[in-house]
Amino acid sequence: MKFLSIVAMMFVTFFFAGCSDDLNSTALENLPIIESPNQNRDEKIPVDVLWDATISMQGFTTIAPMNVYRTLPDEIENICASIGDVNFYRFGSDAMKIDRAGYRKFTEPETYTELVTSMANAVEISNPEHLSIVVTDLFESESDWSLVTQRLKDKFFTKHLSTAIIGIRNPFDGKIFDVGLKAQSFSYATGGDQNRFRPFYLFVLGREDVVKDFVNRFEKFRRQQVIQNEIEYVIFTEHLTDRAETFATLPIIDSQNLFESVELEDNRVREFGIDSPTDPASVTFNFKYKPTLGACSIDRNSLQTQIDFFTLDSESDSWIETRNARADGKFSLERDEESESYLLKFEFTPERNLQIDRWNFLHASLKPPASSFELPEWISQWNMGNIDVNPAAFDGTKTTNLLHIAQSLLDAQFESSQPSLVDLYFLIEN
Amino acid sequence: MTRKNKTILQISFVIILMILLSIAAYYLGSRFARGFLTAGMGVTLVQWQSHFARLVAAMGGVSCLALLTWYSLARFFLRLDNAQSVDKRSIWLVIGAAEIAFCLSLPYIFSTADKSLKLGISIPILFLGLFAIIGFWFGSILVTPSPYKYTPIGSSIFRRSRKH
Repeated sequence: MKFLSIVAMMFVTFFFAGCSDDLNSTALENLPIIESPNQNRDEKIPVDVLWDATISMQGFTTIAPMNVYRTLPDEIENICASIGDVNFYRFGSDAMKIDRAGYRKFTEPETYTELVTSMANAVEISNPEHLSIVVTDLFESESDWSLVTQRLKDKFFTKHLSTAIIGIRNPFDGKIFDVGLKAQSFSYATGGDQNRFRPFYLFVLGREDVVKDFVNRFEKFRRQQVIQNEIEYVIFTEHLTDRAETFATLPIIDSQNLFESVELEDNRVREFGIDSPTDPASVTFNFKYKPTLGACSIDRNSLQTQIDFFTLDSESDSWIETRNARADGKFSLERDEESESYLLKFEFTPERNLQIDRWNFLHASLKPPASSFELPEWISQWNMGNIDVNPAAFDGTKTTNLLHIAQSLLDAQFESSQPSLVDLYFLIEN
Repeated sequence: MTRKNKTILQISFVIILMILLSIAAYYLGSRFARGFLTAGMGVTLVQWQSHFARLVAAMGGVSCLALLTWYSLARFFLRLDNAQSVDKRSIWLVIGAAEIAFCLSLPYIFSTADKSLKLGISIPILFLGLFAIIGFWFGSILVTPSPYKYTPIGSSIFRRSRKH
């Protein structure tokens, strides 16, 4: 009898030994994933094209050969057809919606009648849920680009949205206004000389995946049409690669002291169990760094690890951010010369990073510091300082303050959220 | 208690014992899996458990069959024709060896056929401990009918210690 009771106790112990608390659906829905929810790429996004109708844009319509600007209304509509419905607006100090007959008139010089450019207003009326494309020479009346940057930060960067600038050199014959500190005006004509072509820009705003999609589609259009004009790109976005690199996109090639317990609906997050709390735990990936078109260059030797810690309050099913002074989690990046990729490893000690008897959520990200970002070279090459300009030295191939504009966008991006290469989301019951 | 009732009780004991050992094998195996089932294998613990449950059920069934085979032979078929025919240990050993062979081979067969069933060396060892030792060997000591109660190895020591 004594023997049978011992056996019964053993079985009861074994039975309950494997049991643990499952995470309920409310807690799963409330996971503090910082970026926007999984984006449905099949969803149609409305496209708003805001066309700068100021007089200084007139000169882009006058010369026919190699003129990308004149065909742009139709080309943008073609490119954006699979993204969503396209609406056109003209703007100067205010913005006004125009119909199909109206937007074709942007190929005609008479259309350009506005006297004041207000990019700040164009940004103000842009809908963050749409893709907005501002066709402009990036001139801002009264040089108040700081207001533009502030509105971009409030409306786009803080909501994890993105911006891009596509620079296109185009033939020009017309007047350029408000140049330099004394607001001088210059006549400028390129003729057919490609080296004298003047730049205009597509300033693209919206959801990160849609902005990247448009930029890639524009580049595809450039290649297919064999456009000879110089076209350059720069993009300001939270993820430096074409798609956010998470557990959904990075296959695990090796791991230690970690097993996957349950498959979650959001495949950016993995739920793990720990075999030993004191042994190091790690996951290793094969990582190919493919920067998205227009991404700033970074120094891959100075990448930093950032870890955000959260624990679950089981009563409210909400996640509470915690500070962990003992945390030792870090990324290491080792180049694999044979495959031209990297072995990316994230390692941590469970007992130093996880709270006991709780559900833990870790967001580990690999980020380049702000100092390692470099704007593409073309920004400096196309830049003209906002200075007193000798008429004889005026260079119509450049844009006043382009470098300042691009740098301010980069700074605004960093103030809102530091871009990352990789984001790993761990859900662990310790 | 009548002989018939005792027979029913002993058969029921074998079945219940194998069910309990199967449950123990499932939960202990799941524990061991945390050590060899690493992230990146393409299978979560929950997914692995559903495949492992099939292996455990098969192992439990085979072990139950082995012990019931010994019990049935001892109870219904083996005859005490003379003093020498008491020693049926060789039959018991053959069934025991088959049980050990199943404990070692069934995990290999299942994991080869099912790519999601990754197994470590701890699983066959677990099966040996639970099904071969506790299940067959100890079970046969408890349920072997009287004429052959000393046939399982170690049963004389067990029965002597019980008397004391």
